[in-house]
Amino acid sequence: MQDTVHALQDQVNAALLGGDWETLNGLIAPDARIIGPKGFIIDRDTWIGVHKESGYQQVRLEPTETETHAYDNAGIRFDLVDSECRYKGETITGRFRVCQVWVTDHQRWQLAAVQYTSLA
Amino acid sequence: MTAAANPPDALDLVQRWAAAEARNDADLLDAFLADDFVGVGPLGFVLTRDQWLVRFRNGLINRAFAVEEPQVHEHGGTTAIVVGVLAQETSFQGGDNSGRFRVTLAAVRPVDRWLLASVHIGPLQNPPAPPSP
Repeated sequence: MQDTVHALQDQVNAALLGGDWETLNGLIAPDARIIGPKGFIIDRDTWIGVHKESGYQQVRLEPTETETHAYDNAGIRFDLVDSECRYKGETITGRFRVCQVWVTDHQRWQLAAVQYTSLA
Repeated sequence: MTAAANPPDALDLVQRWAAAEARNDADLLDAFLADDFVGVGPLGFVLTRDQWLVRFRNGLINRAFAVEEPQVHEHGGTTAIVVGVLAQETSFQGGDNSGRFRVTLAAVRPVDRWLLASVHIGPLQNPPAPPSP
């Protein structure tokens, strides 16, 4: 199960980099809550919408220090992520501690929660 | 006939966890954390279960500790995610760490009771002020 969660998160990261909104819609739970480094909560559609903006491009997502914990119907993956994006001509880089909670109903897995904390 | 009490839910676990934190009671906390619990602090550091439990012996003192504005999302009766605001009055080795933080808690129920699998505590900034008219 750890391998499953690990692979699914890799798929989400690849979809964010590739602008694959269909994959993101399928892998992220409709009631998912995403918390950015300032502590604001956004929902799935808002998160995907930000990435869909014409002026936004995610160009790098490199997870390290990855640790995945598996439970009966859940998995939690912790990463240290080096990120780079371009937004309206500006390049923004950052290093974040990220916690990603995956859940399953035995039919399919979905990402249910994400929290980013910026590392100074 | 007395109606059976509702079984404790994930929010009940979170509230009991916060109460144990407020009491600086590592023995009580021990019963609430999953074996492979992970805690992420506001600066992004990661603590194992044992490291989390030993904080009080290393100089952490909570004077107040509460999860406010909790939003609970339960998945299939065995997993729950609670997002809220952590309001704490805390010092660590003499320095003041009080404040309001964003927190995500993941709870799992492997058998008959909820356990905390992870706690992620991060900064919480004030939302931007609306534009002046």
